[in-house]
Amino acid sequence: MEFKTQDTNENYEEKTLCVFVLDCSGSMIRADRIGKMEAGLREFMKEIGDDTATSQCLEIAVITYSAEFQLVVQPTLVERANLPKLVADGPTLMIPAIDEAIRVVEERKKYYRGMVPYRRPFIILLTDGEPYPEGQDFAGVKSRIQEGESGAHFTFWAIGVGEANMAFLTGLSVRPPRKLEGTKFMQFFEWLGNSMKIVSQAPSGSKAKIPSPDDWIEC
Amino acid sequence: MKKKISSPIAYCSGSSAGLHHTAEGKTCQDASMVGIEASGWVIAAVADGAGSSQHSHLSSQLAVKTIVDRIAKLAASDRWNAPHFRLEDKFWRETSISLFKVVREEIIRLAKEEKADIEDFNTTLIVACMKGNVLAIAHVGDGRVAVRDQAGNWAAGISPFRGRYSNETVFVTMEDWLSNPSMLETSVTNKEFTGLALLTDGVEHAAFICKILSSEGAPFDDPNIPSKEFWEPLHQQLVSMYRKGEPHKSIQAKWSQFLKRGTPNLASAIDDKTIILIAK
Repeated sequence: MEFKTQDTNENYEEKTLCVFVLDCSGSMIRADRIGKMEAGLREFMKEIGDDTATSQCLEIAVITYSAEFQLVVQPTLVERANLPKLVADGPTLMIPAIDEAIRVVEERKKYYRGMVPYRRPFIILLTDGEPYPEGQDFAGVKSRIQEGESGAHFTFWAIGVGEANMAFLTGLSVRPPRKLEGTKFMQFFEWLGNSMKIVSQAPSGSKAKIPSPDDWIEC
Repeated sequence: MKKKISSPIAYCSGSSAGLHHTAEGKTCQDASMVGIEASGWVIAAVADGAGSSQHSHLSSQLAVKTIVDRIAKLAASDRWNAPHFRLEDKFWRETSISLFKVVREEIIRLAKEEKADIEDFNTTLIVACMKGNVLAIAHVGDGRVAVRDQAGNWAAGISPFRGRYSNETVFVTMEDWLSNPSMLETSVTNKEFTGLALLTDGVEHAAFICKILSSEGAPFDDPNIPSKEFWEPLHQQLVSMYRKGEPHKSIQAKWSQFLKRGTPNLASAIDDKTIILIAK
């Protein structure tokens, strides 16, 4: 027997979970995409942390992937999230990383149930490529994303950067993927922060209207 | 850990460095100690060395050792073992003031030996001593205490002291609590209890409901409610291990692993983590 117990929810506020799946493969070193992505995410965390209400409602988790995937930030409020420095190196083990994000969402929802109300979680993939090496279970994860979206278990957004294979992302995601203009990570994360504030603060049961992504999207 | 007789209670105690310290290769600044006396008194103490104080890992260890040793001496005294002796509020308060002054003086002595400022030794301190249904608690600073009653309900045993800002508290080493009685909180209860936990504030987000949005005034309220979902399974597991005769060393090893990464909140804790868990 080991010591095992349930985490305490820090407060009873309705929770929104945002799981980031971040491409840390070698190509992300081009144009310092990795540095700009990290800076944008840190700024997002700071903005959310400075918002009295959203900081108590929005939880984030971060999964990075290159040669392997790693849950580097467990689901938690941003004020308690300790994001490590992101390093670009290695191939693109994207598919198992997305599966891990789906697992994290399901585990966290089990934790929320019976303790706090929660909104549909988000999984946000940022990538500048496509899965490599080959042989990753694309069909399986595509099916799980479709099931997740149709069952309203989570919302999946794919954001392509640089040389990202947008056709691949279109096949993967139910929602049309978006292409980041250049390395406008800061603008993307600013938009995301504003969107999350709206989503997490909208009255329970209502649909939130998020702002247009024009500032960062490549047309 | 100090153990003089085979334990009348089940307990586990320990500390684990938070991510902040592990990332910088620094030592844990928390400390804990449990004393089980032949007289039947059980004494438990936790201390949280200030992150900004260079030598607070030394003062937190000194604080818990000093107070447990001092109370152990009292517990062995004729007065405390007299048939008519009752540990009551006024007596406990006076005793606590003396004890905490001794702790402070010991830390000042240590600071002089180390040729450093007393501010480099800032630490909080929580102590509980118990026998039968009597539970006496004293503390300066933050941290939390959870008490389990006969029905299995958990309630807070102290109110952590907070300064004007969320990351401020008062330390045993300061003069403030000497002149401001409200900064040394003491209590004595004589109600059956079946479990107790002392913890430093690095763990509180994992184990207590301590931050909810306020509808008025300050942005947040601190309900200071121990989470039954967190504590009850641990209590039951400790009782089960004890009843099966599991060696204390084995229980301690498991507790140490639990503190490191037993839950996502514990695994991601920035601050050092310390919990003493006691089951009667």
